[in-house]
Amino acid sequence: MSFSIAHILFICFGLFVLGASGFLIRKNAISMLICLELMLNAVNISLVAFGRMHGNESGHALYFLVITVAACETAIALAIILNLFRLRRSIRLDDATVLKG
Amino acid sequence: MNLQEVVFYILGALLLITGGLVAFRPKPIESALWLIVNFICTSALYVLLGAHFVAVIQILVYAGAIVVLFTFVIMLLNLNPQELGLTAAVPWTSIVLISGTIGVIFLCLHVATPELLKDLPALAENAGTWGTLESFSKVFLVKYVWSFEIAGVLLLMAVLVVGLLAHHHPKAVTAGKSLEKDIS
Repeated sequence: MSFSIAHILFICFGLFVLGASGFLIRKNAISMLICLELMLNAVNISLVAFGRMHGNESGHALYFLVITVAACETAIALAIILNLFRLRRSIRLDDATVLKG
Repeated sequence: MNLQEVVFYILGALLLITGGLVAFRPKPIESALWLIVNFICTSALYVLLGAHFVAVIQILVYAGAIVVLFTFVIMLLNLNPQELGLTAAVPWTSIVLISGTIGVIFLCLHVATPELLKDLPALAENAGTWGTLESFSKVFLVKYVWSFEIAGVLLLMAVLVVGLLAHHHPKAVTAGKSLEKDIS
């Protein structure tokens, strides 16, 4: 192998920042969820790469847990978004102000 | 520069380009479809690292299940551009703040630990079975069996909660507004 862990971490960093900035500038809920998936994916790459560096499978176990959490979170969040759309006819999070004090 | 390095740099560039397209394309359906390309590139990176089982799971679970769920919901809602809020102001300062902070942290780590810059060890040094389903299962189902159980319970809870949410019908379009009036 002729690339180091720092190369892979740089790609993870770029993907995570892209996801975070997309999460901040997006207005509708589905796009924000997609950016969330992008961030989780960046973290997954770094987990597997660190597992590769140390030569054990602990990174894979964490990867498995992270994709489980990501799948649960996506399913529940999409159900909430569908309910929000039935309530307000819109999925812009600026309109979801029921919990505003 | 050997072949692995060339493939790695091409994959890295593709990952960053498709990541940017996912984050900044205006319509959600375009974001979801670019997300599939991004996940396929991620899977190719896992193959390059030697983690074959993880590469297969990435395609099956992410590109096969999660993105399909996203696409299904986007097409079910069938939003018009006005509801999507495409003409919104962009707070560029927050992006610069976040990326700058993470970049400085990363640079400090990079300078502080020169071990990060060493090349990854070849696969033969790691007993040759790293990343296969067999070695992954031996670690995951023996050493990390409780995380496996917790993942199962979490999935069960998610199924129950999604069922409850699907049964719960909000009253009407104006229900939230009257609630707001009651609170204030």
